[in-house]
Amino acid sequence: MRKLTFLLTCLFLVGVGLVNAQTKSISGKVLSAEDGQPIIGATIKVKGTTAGTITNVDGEFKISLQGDAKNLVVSYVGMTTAEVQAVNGMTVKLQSNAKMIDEVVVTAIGIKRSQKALTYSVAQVNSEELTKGGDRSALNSLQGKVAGLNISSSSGAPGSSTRVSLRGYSSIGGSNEPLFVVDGVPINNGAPGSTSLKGSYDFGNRINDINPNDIASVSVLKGASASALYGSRAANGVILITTKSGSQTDKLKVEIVSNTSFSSPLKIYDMQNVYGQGWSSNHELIENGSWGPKMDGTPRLWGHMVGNQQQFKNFSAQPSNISDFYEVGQTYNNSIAISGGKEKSNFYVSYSNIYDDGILPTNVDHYKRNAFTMKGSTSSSFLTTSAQFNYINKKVSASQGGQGYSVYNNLLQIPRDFSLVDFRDYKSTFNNLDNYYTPYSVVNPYYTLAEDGNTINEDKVFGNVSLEANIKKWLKATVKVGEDFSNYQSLTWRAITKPQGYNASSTQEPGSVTRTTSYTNEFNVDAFLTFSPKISEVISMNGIAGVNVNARSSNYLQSGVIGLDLPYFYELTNSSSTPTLTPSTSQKRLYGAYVQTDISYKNYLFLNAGFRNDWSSTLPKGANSFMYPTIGLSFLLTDAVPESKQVFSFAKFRASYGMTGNDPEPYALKSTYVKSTVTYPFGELSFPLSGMNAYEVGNVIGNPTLKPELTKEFEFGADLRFLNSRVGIDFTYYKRNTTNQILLVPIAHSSGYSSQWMNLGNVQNQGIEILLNLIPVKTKSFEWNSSITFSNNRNKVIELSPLLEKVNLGGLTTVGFYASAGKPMGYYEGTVSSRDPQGRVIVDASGLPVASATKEILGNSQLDFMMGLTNSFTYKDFSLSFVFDIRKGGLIYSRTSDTNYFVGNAPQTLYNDRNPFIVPNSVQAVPTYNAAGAQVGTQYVENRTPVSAEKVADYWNNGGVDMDKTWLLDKSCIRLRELVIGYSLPKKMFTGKVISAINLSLIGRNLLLFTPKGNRFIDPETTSFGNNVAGDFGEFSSSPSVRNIGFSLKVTL
Amino acid sequence: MKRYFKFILATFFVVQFTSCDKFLDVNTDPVNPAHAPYEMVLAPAVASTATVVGGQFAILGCLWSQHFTQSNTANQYKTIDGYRLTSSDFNTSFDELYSGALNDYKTVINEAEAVQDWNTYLMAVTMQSYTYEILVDLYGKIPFTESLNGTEGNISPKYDESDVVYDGLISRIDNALSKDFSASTNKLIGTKDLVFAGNMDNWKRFANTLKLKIYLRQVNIRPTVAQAGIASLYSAGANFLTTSAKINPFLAEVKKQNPLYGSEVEYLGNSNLRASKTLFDYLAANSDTRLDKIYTPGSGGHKALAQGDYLALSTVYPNGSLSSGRFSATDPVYFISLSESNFLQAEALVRYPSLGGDAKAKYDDGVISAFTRLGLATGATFVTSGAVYDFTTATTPEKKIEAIITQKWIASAIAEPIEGFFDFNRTGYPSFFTVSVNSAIGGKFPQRLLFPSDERSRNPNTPTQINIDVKVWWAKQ
Repeated sequence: MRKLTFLLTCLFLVGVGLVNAQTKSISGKVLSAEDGQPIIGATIKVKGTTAGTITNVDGEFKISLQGDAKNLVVSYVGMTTAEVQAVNGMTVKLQSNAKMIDEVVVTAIGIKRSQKALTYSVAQVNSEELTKGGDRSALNSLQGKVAGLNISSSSGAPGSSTRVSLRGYSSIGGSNEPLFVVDGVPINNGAPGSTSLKGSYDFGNRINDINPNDIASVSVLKGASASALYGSRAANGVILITTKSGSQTDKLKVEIVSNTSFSSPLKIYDMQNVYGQGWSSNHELIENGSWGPKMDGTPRLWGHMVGNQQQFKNFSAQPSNISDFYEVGQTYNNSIAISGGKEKSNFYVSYSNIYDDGILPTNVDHYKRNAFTMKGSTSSSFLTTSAQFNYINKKVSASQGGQGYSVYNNLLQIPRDFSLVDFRDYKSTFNNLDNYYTPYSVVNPYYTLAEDGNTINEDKVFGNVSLEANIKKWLKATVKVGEDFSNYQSLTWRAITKPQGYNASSTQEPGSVTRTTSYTNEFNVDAFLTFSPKISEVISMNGIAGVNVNARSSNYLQSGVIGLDLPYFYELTNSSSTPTLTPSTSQKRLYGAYVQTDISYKNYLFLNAGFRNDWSSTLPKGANSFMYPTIGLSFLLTDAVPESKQVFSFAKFRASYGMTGNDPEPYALKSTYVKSTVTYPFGELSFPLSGMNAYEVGNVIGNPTLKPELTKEFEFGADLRFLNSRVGIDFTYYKRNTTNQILLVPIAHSSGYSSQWMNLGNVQNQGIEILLNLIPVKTKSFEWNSSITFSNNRNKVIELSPLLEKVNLGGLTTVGFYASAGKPMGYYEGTVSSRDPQGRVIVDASGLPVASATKEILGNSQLDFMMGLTNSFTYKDFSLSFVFDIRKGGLIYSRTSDTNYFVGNAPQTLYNDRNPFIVPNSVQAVPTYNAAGAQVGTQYVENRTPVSAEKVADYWNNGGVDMDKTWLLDKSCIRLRELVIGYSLPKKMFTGKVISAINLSLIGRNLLLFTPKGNRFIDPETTSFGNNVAGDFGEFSSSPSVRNIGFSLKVTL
Repeated sequence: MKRYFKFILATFFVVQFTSCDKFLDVNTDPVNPAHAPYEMVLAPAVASTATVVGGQFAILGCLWSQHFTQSNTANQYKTIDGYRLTSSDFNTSFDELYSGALNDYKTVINEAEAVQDWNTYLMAVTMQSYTYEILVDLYGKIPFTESLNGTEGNISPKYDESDVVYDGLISRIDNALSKDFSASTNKLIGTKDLVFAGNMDNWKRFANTLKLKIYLRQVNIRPTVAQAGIASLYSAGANFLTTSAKINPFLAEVKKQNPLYGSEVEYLGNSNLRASKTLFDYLAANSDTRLDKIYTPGSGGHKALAQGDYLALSTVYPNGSLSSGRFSATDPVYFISLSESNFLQAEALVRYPSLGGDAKAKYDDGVISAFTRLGLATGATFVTSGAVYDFTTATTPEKKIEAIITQKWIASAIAEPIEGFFDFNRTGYPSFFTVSVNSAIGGKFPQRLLFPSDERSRNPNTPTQINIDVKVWWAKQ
């Protein structure tokens, strides 16, 4: 207290001194109280005069005081205006105006701007929101929190991928993933893995490996005008991640966070518990399905007779046999961060460690991550030098999904009367390969679990060095050199699985080993000037101009052998077969130049304009330059017309337009020869053969005139707040068209080729995004904050090309997944039952529906809308928050559903208690003949043939009347995404202690999932076809998503 | 300091931008070469033809030639065996033949012609013609005169009628045979030739035998063309194959296997193709020892299923009880086998006695070589006087044709099964084929494949669909 009195006295004395002077020149600095960063463009006015200035790029100002003026008024949009006494060398810290909810957000090239001045929509999510759910992935923590951002975890397997898209899918053939930029440097978000139907695994995308505790904020640039400065890489939006820095407060800060959580499957498919093992109503001991008789609870023999012994058990349902198979998963996530700084320099160091053992028995499914971050900066009056280094190592082990011998496929084909845990000892007499109860190409799941595997070990290093020079008060130059590389080795192996004896007719797997090494590298240099020249009292301006050099390369080599000799030994050398080598090398380089300026008029009218020009290595020489302009305007009604404050606490209207691009992948311009491999429907023949190597004429025709995909986007919006900002609504409408789609267009093979690179088509996405913020209750000790995000995106392929009726996006040969003109991208096509002209189902002689001759459209995967509901309550030291994530509409293919119908475990197969039934409203086709005996037509007569009890299985195997549509499930769901109950130990406990705060929280993720009647099988977020559009197709016997419950302890020193 | 920094900045920009063009010049594919010598392209083209003809078309042949039928405890080929094909079923095969085989032959033909290497030229022309013929026989109309011109800008070639293709093939083969095989520009490509290891005499025989086959196909629709063509072959002293035109680079190793084995056994667990009563009963009735070389007995000994009876209950035919195919990973793929060459000649000699050859000798050779191919030395005992396959019991020309085609059909099992189907539709033999129990086309036999859906969706010139029960032009009416 004494110190403070002394300080006040000093200030008073200085103040007196000022009064005495006639003209005094004052210089100072304006910083944000929150993070100590300089505020650019803050307005400084001498109280009671018209004299004023604005701060430069370092937040510094200089102003002259005349006469007895002694107070300055410092203001900045989004900050509380401060009135302070003028002192030379002063530092003014502005508090952010919480009521205005008007943050300073990070925009393109890492430039911080006031949200209020922006002409486009940018959403920023800060550290607390990213970490309080305790997820290992910052992306997962964004779920439900940003309107227009679609984030899905592809499965619950440890370390699995998170799929991200913004404002729908724009590119039919290219990537739809946003660009990820960490502290101004683009970072590779690749996701190693396999989407093979016969063994898919997912080692996770790289952005998920960044420790969320190191992140200060994530800023989402949704539209083309927000992201135009990233030019040809920005067509799908940009996600900017800003990491934490040490604060310049002279105090060492240590933060320790420890999370422990437990996981269990979120949704296991519903199954019937009435009928037991068998097929066609018979109790067959080798069947992999539940088409047998009703389970009557009587003891019956089961499985094979081995050495004159056979097992018996009660023929009764095992309702929890699948859930009993899974174990409780465990995750331990610990991190420590040390940071600090002085006036001119700061540092931040952190280390984190995660061990996640998933829900499969044993630890074959696990994710281990060690992440280390080091960051520091120091500055003089002229130069600020910063450097940052991150190292991440991850090790993932995954069990493959898909058909054939995968754990999930094996699990799906178990009759309802079987206890699974009894198969655990997979080497025992009755459970081993030869004597396992069925020969139908599934084996004991515990065998596959233990004997097959997929692992990866990846090192990722990224970081940057930057120099900032203050050239003039209003001009700053920055050079930032960034590097990101990821290096991994993965090994997948399949055991020699050759069942003999009873199961000799089962699929014989010769065993295989595949080794992959990959090196991905991205080098990025940005050099730019930021400027804020003084124009006039009413007009201010700031801007950026710069150049970018970017080089990406990747080297990949996969080697594999099929047919192993030594059992249980997995190395490439263990085979007499010729290894298959799959090399891939690619390089892509880019130059860019950009300019963008913001001009504000009286701080209520803002004009933003700029462009970027890119020169890309993947475009034809001489035609490799493309320009992407942007322009926008925003108007602050409440600042322009003060009377409007009677209605609004704040009102802003904005409109903007921008263009972005998506350049081709390397090597699309020229045709080549390729190493010869002939693939046929069930296998392949590859050279070398007879000691001879061979190349053949490639089937792709290159296109020497290829152009980048071009996205043009218009958006407008309004940000309105009422009732002292207790109610706020932010509304955006956008319309985005992506033309010049780069597609490998399939052409008739009779031309001698299979496909040709072309630019064609137009995909449109339009929609609205609404963010509603409410503070229903706010008292001194209790506060309730509520926010609702809503977005609906309407995707439509406006045109393709006469050459191209539809584009295959992935899918299967049975159920296809396509894009075609006039329809949303990602519609399903499959077999349905044939109908007569009156729409009645045509059945065959056994009363079973006849498949239609051609495939029909079954619906599409596009969501109608997404909604996020976040509520948080704080009462004194307690807090409670939860997030609901709601998605409506769209279909998803599910092999889990398909297989459940196939084996008769699906509850729907109980229809009519499996008694014979006549397909409702069905007819039989009867040919009509003329006098000469030639068929002249077909007559449809009412069907009187029931589907016999033996054929009920056939009926459901084909999907009943709906056929392939039966496997397409309604994707709608409501999910309690996050629930956090927090408690902070009272602050007064820590006065004078080393520890300054302790927070405890109880965390739940994915606690509840509600799916509609049309989906009794899966969490509709699970996918097994990668992270692009194809991923939307569905799941192919993949691992279930998980529910997490845990606790977190955070200690701050 | 300030000046120094500006200098660095300026230098940076200058250095970067002066080297701009070079910096961006990295768009040459490092993994795939821009070109490869044509001798290197021939083998993969031959392998491509072999993969389809000896793979998917062999499976089609196994079923439609009634050597095998679809198992009642598996599902893979129900659409083929029940004559309920959809237009997408053979996309892969059609696509592979055009872009994988025919187009590569075209490249070899063009490049060999440019350097006057008539050896390689003949090989590519013969193989390309062989491939085109199978396609036109299966589809009736195919892209021919305008095909394979994608890089010249024609991505929707028109479809030609069978006769245009047939006449075109004859004239292309004749042209290739007429070249100067003693020219110094001819190359000896040796083992790069997977079929005959560079033996040009065999290639000329292959070309002649193929011509013979093409003419014989036309005996119903253009008898005079057939007769004149064959007469001119004989009068010119044409030699026919005395060894099989086949390839056998296969190993008992995944991705190096015989394609029929790779598909049916390696991948699908030999669970689909089961002995058809049509062939099985005929062999059994004649105590033909080839039965055990074509079929592997089921769990309770040999048992066959009626053609197309794949819905039979598993209580009647339990899983594993039916005889399956004796396929081997190292079986060759035959283009024209020695037996087929002999039977073709036998047929020609029966039809046109004026050619003045010994049909019986060719017939006997055909049967014997079919036994020999299966490792049986006892073929001769089946054709001696009074034996079951004695040619002399066929007293009329029609009976002789029946005997020849029936033996040719047995010989084609596993080796070149699609030929049995073609011959049945051309001649009506064997006389004891049965319509699939689950036929989707009533009491009729299938005649052709549907135009592929890949073509339909990509090539506006694809003709209106023709049902599989409509005969191709050379079929017996």
